[in-house]
Parts: sequence; C-alpha cells; structure tokens
Amino acid sequence: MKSWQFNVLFVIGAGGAVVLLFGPSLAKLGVVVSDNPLTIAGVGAILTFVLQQKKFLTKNGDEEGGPDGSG
Amino acid sequence: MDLAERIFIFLLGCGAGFILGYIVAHLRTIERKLDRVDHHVLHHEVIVSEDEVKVKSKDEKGVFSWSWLTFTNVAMSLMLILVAYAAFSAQAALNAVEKNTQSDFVSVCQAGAEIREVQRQTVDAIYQLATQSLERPPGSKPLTDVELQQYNAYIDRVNFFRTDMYQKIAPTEACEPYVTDENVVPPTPGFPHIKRKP
Repeated sequence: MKSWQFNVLFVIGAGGAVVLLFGPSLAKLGVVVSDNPLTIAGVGAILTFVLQQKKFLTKNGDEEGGPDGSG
Repeated sequence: MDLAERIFIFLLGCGAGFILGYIVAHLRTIERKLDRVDHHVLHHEVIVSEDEVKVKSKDEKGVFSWSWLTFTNVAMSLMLILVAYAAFSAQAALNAVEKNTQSDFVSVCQAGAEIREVQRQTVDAIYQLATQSLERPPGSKPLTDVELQQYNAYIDRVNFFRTDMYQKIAPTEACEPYVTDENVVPPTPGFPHIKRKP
C-alpha cells in the first residue's frame, strides 16, 4: 500500500469517527446516527492502532526496514 | 449519551488501540531485527551450537530477554483485566438503571390507581346529581308521551355517561401488570326507564 492510499483511507476513517461523535447531537436536523459506545470505542481503537502501524503497512515503511538493512 | 460521554468513550478506545498498537509495533520491530540478524548469520555462516546458547547470559539474548516477555505478558493481562472490568461495570450499571427505571414506573402506576379512584368518585357524584331529580314522588302528574320520551332519552345519556367514563378510567396496557384497580364497575345499576302508569 502506498502512503497516499493509506492517508486517504485514514481520512475516511477519521471522517467516520467524526460522524459517530457528532452525528447523534444533530438529531434535531434530521440526522439519525446511532450512539453505540462499543462502536465509538472500536473506531477510536482501530484508528489509533492503524496509525501506529503505518510504517509497517505502507510501501515506504517496508522499504525502509528491509531484512538486509538496505532499505 | 451526550457528546462528552461519546468523546470520553472514543478516547478510551484510542487508549486501548494505542497500547495494542504499541505492543504490535514493538513486536514487529523485534521481528525485523531478528530477520536482519538471521540474514547476517546465514550469509556469514556463523553457527552457534545449542549448548553455547544455553550458556549465554540473559543480557546477551538481546530483545528476547526475559524482562521484555514479562512486560508483554503483564501489559496484555492488564488489558484483558481492564476490558473485562469495563464489560462487567457497564453491565452492572445497565442493570441498576433498568431496575431503577422499572421501580419508578411501578410507582407511577400505583400513583395512577389513586388518581383513577378519585376520578370514579367524581363520576359517581356527577351521576348522583344528574339522576337525583328523576325520582317522581307518588301522586305526581302523569307524563305525556313527549315528556316520557325526553325523560328516557335523558336517562339513557346519563347511564351511558357513567358506563363510558368507567371504561375510560382504566390503567394503560403497560401499567396493567403492576397495578390492580378496585371498584372498576359502577356501584349501582343504571337508572331505570320511566314507565307509563297503567
């Protein structure tokens, strides 16, 4: 996976988290978003986890840490 | 659940993800380093016998030192305990809330029974007032056909009013399992029609 692809996916995930956080407060505007605590905590955990694994998931990260150290 | 609670839960999730991510990243880094060592050893044909490895001290074992394994185990155990505690706490809190809600609901239903009893007494008082004047003393002037029809129509309306109100003054379906009303039928039969004297 290239770095920009990871960034796009992460921004989409972060957008989902924002919707989960602020969506239930917009019920007066007709926005219907469930506020399941497990979902909110899960999204937060996944985003943080994935962000920490970026250097292992992206292609640049793999190139940097090759087995022979050549990177 | 308001915004502050959602943000708090989100941050809790972020914390859990951070700890797990930290552990996994550390393990991956160790794996890479080991791969490098493996590669280096294979290319330089350095062969170490098992006996020599056993003799080496803990410090010489590098990243696989006993302290790191202990830290991983402790961290994972802590995470499991925290998750289990959070699950039990959440379930206990949910049960307590449900119990309180149920108790409040039963109290409301029981209070409603007293209110309905007062309403029935009010209906009875109105009924008494409405039928009191219908009693005709003996020797009174006989009624004409029109008057008789009007009287009986009025009696029907008054009887229907009382019966209808008694049916409407009843607990809701949700309250029915928790409350039993008394005096749910009118205490006296309906006022009889006035008949022409022979």
